[in-house]
Formats: sequence, structure tokens, C-alpha cells
Amino acid sequence: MTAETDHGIGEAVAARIERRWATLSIAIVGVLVGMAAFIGIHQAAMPQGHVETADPKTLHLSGEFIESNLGSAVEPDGSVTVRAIGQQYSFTPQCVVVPAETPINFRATSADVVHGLLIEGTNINTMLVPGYVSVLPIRFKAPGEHVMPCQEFCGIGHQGMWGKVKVVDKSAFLSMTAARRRLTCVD
Amino acid sequence: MINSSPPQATGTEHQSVEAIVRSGPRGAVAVAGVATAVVIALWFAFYLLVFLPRSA
Repeated sequence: MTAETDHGIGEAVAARIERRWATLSIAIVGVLVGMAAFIGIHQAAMPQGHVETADPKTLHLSGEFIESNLGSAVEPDGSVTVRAIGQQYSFTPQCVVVPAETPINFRATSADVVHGLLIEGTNINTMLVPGYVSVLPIRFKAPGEHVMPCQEFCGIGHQGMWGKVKVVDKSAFLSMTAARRRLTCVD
Repeated sequence: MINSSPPQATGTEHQSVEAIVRSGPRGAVAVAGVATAVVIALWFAFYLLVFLPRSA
């Protein structure tokens, strides 16, 4: 066998291995893209499918984010809607109370600059952008407390902007709703 | 000398290099395969053991 033929065989081997590696890489990308689609379809994580707006100039005067409407409310279908506002440098309500084992819809917006909403121990992690309503579905499995820090630098007092989510037993929550229309755990 | 010409490969050396190339880059495939497998395994471990249990 001549040296030229040897060289040709070596090149062919390298090209074949490269082709196989490229095929494997494309297959891995395909699996990961498929997983992303699966996650979305099964709502393990669902990007917000629609845009909702709320005028930050009139948040406190009219609409669903007026102060008396903030907190947790039971809907006719048994789910709970939580409405909250982020502003420099706190959340309103500062402490959110929700029932365990119940579908919950978080609706939140910002009254001034961009804030972040993150609930520790969950996949809830989004931005609160002034002018837009962030809607997040969640379900807590067990009673407990979760911290809710602002995770988007919002100014000089950002590090002090912490809220809390208190998950209580469903029956305890329902008995609390008998007394008040909108629930919070702010004393 | 600093810029001396590199030693020329003899015919026998050429043949042994070609033999190595012909047998394929098994070592490189093994290293890249293990590295890729570790990354993909970690991705699935986080997805199944951390991400899904935290979702709604």
C-alpha cells in the first residue's frame, strides 16, 4: 500500500467520525428542543401566552391593582388569584397568604421601575415591568413559608425589597376568607 | 540554532503515523463522549429532580 493511499484512508476515517459526531450533536439538540416543547405543552413552565397592560400612572386609582383589591381572592371555580404590586422598595402586600393544594394565579405589576418576582423553592421567577401584568400559575404542595425577594436591581434600596409567601392549609385559608374579601398575612 | 529545520520523518515513521490515523480517533471520541454524556446527564438530573418537582 502506498503512502498516498494510506493518507486517503486516514482522511476518510476522520471524515466518517466527524459526520457521526455531527449527527449525534444534531440528535442531542433535537432532544433538548423536544423537551422544551414538552415542558411548554405540559405546562411545567409556560411562558405567558398573552400581553396584559396596566397603566402605572393610575394603578392606585382604578383597575384591579387598587389597594383594596390587592391580596388573595377566591374565584368561583375554587382557584385563588393573588394580586400584588412591586414598587421601590417593597411588595404590596408584603406578605401573601395562599392555600396549599390549590391552583393559584399570581397577577403582579410594577408601579415604578422594573422589579423581579421570585418565590424561593418554586419555578416562579419573572420580571415586573411597569405597564405590563405578569401572570404566573402555581400550586403549592404543602403549607410553609417562602421568601419572595426582588431579583432585579431596582435602585439603592433593592437589597431590602423582600416579601413573603405564607402557604396555609386549605381549610384554614377558606375560614379566613369568611372574614375578609381580600387576604394578606400583613399584620 | 534557534530556527533549525524540524527533523524529517523517515518512511517508517510516516507509515506508523498513517497506521495510527487509519485506526481512527478513538481516544478523542472517548473523551468527547464522556464529557458530553456528563453534561447531558446533569441537564436531565436537574430537569427531573429539581425543575419538575418545583413546577405548578
